[in-house]
Amino acid sequence: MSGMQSGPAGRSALAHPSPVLVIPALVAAAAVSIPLFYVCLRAIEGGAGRYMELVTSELSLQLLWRTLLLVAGVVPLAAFIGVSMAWLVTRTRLPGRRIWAVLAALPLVFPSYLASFALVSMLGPGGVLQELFGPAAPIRLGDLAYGYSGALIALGFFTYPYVYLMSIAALRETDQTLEEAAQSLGSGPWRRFRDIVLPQLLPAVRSGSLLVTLYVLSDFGAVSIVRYQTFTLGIYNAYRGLFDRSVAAALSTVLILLTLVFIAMDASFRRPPRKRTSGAARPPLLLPLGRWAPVALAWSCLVIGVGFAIPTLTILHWVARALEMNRALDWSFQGTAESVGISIAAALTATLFAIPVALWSARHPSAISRGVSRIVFAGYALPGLVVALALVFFATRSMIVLYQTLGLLLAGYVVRFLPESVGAIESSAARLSPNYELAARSLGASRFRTFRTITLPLLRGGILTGGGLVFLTTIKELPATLILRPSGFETLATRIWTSVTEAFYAEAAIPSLVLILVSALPLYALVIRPVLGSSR
Amino acid sequence: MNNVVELTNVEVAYGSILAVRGATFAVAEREIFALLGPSGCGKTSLLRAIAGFERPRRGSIRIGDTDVVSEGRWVQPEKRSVGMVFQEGALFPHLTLWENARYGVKREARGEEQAREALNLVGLLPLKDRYPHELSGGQQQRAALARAIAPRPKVVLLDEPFASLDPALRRRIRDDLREILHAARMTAILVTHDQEEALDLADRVAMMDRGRILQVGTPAEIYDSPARAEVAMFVGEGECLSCRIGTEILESLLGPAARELEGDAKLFIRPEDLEVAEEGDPRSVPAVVETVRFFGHDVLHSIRLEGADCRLPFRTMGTAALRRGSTLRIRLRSGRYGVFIGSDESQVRREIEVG
Repeated sequence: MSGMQSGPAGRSALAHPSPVLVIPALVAAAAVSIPLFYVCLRAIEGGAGRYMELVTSELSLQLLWRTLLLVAGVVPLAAFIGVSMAWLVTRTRLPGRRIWAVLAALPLVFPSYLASFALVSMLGPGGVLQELFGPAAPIRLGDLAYGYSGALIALGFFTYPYVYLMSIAALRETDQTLEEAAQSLGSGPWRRFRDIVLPQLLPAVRSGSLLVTLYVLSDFGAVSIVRYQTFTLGIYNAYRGLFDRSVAAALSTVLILLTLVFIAMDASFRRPPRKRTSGAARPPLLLPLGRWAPVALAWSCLVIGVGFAIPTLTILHWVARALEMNRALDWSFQGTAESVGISIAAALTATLFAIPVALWSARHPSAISRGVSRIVFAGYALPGLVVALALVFFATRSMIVLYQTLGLLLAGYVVRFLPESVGAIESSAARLSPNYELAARSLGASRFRTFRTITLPLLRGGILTGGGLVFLTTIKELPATLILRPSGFETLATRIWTSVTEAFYAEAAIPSLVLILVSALPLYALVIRPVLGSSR
Repeated sequence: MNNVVELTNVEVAYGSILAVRGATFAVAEREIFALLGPSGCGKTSLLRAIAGFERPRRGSIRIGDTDVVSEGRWVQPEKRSVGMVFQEGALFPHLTLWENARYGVKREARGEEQAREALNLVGLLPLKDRYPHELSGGQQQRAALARAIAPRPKVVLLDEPFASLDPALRRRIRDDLREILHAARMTAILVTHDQEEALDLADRVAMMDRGRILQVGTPAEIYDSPARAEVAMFVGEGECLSCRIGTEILESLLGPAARELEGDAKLFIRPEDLEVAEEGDPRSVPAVVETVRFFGHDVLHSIRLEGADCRLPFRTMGTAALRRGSTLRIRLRSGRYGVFIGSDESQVRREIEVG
């Protein structure tokens, strides 16, 4: 008899999720966790002794040292730039602060391989500087583009927007009345910043720094172009160069562990979010900069110059050169179409899996649904290179038909970026009262009709945002694409990377420009505007 | 009269927490029935169990001629023929008023007619093309009611329907609701924590506390002869005077009737039960005025009985207030009084006559 159920009673009736939610969600969780299991399997297949030997080898320790060194340099740099810019544009009378607010978010349009492309093709041998000055070009600057300093610039000046955007959001939410109270109790601007603003800002800085840390740990594009060997590059070289893949697998387990340590460190810091004490949001008092104004302006110019203006000009220079030489134009159309195509496919597939995962955990919270959501989120923290290797190990071992197919590449994207979509839909669903769905059921609508006519339309915003984010990150993705793509399949990202590593800068130019143009709109709409758009 | 909804021994639990314990009552056709109680008393859980949003652990629920919950049987919410009105309306924000009203009816001429009638009944037909956010709070509540009654359900369930409205609007919407329910000949179950609302609107009230139904009765029965001290204290103003605190005081107040009481008795006194006594009246006790609250048509005082740590509410009609800090003697008006004897589980009510 339809409409009737018998079974264990005593639970909230609608806490029984439909298998339509549960099955795809479990598939998603399996897709994330099974390949990781294969990484571990591959790493220890030579025995525990061999594994320990690999993990404690000189190569491994050196990679660990260099990776930590880079984190230790990039994170403080990005945090300092991010917080200083956020504070300048929200709390001071910086001339033109609204324009600066948008400009300061723009370095996000450069994925790390584009940033380092701009860097080496500006300063390095055969670069713009040498073209301009000939042999008289300052050689020292060329050195700056490579190695540790190159990686520091290419990552620090292009990841700070994560800290910046989160800090702005936090500064917007700080309670102005607290500062006024402090002022009325007689504390000056510096004490107010230290005692009132900073503590409210710290959680955002910490979250932003964690994002930057994860970015650095997983970055492959920048370090491979500026030739600074960290774990990702070491793993890649081991995978490409050695017949024995257990080396790459063993190194991957160390990188996974390192990632987990940083996440755990952040989680242990996390405190329950504070509530605003008063509801009225009023524009904050803006601090006059006085004679510090030129310093603040110079700092802003430096940040935007390195992070946006110079790389843009450099890439445009190479675009002009490419047009002169008529190179790479014919490929660009096909490459763009393939890039956009696979990114749309990834966005659609991710959305298809994200809806059940998000609805299950948002609507039917239980240990299992939360566990699934957490496993799915793990894919986001893991370096794309590791996810890709995991899938290769899995496919070559258990599903060889998938190896070197677009399907496996798609799976890599989905495993990696599913959390963006899940997160967006979950936060939409959390804001949505379950009463809409209950009301529909009461009015005689079946589960399916309720889902189709109520849930889906009301979650549209979250679904579109999530899909857009997956599209954006997929089209920029490099390391997983390099490993998983079928031979002959080329995206904008792989094309740029191949050309740059071979120093054919002009060939990288047009794909770079296309990539920036394609990703600029979703980036602005989905990442920058939600934070800055609420500005006064 | 036929019973439209019948609950027998319904128990609702969340994990190990028992939200509703053994609820039994029946709602007659076209009756407005209120579930009244403080927040967390289980009234909303019970309503949700009737709607089919919670699955009772024990007991049975019958709606119309159908057992929707019984041993091994549980009917999905969409098959129960109940209309639900949520606290905040829960109008589908992406649909117009007309699409909302039409959501629960059949997609044919008769269904459309029902939706139109319902909107007409709540007086919102002219606004049918508006979206929910384009309606005022009161209009949204009436629209939610229209949506719920359009499919002609056997019973309408209302979960704190006025809680999100401002006080001035509440009374008006309450009058509207009563009229609409009567005009639509609907049976309704209303959940509220506001005793004024329950007493005003309902034909019968079930008073709940800590998961239990303490008393079911008409508003007058609940107010005049509360079955338990908790009911008495919740409905209307009043205070229990406990024997333990001042037996002497009790004897002075009650006179010979006090001798009928023994042990742990509590005398329930409403503000209108007290009056100022003549000097030398043997049945009076001395008191001090502690606070004065002025309402215009009456004044509510809180007085402390001398020699006891006990405050009683005392109402005088008109605008003449007693002075704060002044002393006076008060006595009980003659009439019948409820006395609650015994502790929590085994509490019984007795009535005594004060002459």
